Amino acid sequence: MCKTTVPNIQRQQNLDEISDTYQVFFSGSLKRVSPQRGHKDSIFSLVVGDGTVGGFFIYTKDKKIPAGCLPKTDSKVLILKDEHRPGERSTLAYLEWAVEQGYLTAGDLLLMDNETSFKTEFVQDFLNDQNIEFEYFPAYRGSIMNPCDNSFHNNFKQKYYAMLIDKTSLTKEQKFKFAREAYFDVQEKSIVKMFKHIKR
Amino acid sequence: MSAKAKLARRKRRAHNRILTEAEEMIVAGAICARSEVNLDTSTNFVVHFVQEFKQITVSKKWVHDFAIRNKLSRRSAKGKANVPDPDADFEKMVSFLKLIQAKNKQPNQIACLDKTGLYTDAIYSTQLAPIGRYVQDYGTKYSASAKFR
Repeated sequence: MCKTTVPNIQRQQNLDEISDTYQVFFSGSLKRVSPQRGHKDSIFSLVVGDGTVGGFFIYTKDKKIPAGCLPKTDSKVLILKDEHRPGERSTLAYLEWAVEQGYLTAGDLLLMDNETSFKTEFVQDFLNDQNIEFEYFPAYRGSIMNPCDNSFHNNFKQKYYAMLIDKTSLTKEQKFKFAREAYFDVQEKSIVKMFKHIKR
Repeated sequence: MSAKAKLARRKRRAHNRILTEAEEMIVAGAICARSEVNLDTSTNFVVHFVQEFKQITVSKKWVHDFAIRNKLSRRSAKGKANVPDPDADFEKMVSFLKLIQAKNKQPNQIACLDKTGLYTDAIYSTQLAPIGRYVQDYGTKYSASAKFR
């Protein structure tokens, strides 16, 4: 079978004719501009049933971050470089800070998913010492039941990446500031709805 | 000799064939039907199937050739994903919520904690200039999206 080559102009004309007569819909979508990627830093999010959020706590390995890049009243940057069991250490650091700041008090009920760093002996001991009750979501169902995983992170990340989309140069501190802004930008009403979503 | 006759002769020529073309189609059909419902279609299965079907023990080499003849492909089997039973799962979730309700906590006493990752690497824009020249950082001034505002 010999191959026939159709000139581009002719091909375009053919396509136009087809689309005029048969109303052709071309599938696919335009390429979305995605933000630049690189290393990930961890953020702890605490969402309360009355619609409030806990402080902004970010854990990074970068030692060059200045101490006062974020306001100390409601946010903290934790720098851990090559530590043993960083997940557990950062969780403990977060819980200590949350208790210190008053985001978690005695008698509160803390719901977490089954991440290993949330289930270690030190973390459980700390919570018991502070009289904070805790429960873990059923295995593999945190993504459905946890309002953080389910809706809050989505909302927060959308706002964060929308802030970055038209920036050509940004330092890490600026990114932290944007992340903090996006974190506190999620409305109380939305958070209450995220909790109601579980009850449905 | 016509092309049709040549083809017919070629088909007849395989005097040492274990199964005829129609019988091979039956075996291939059984394999396709089983693979649709994720049942075992390994070489051993084909050997046993032919044994029951024609009382002939075929070799692995025959199965290999048979697969090529009938355009069947070979792929490594993947284990079934560990998907929980939806009903049991639902019950588990409901019982968990009942457990939380039984604690009689106020909404301001119930907190959910989670961790997420965020890409926070610095973004640097590069400017063209002669070697050794100091270049000012214009930030968003000349960014593609800023141009169309």
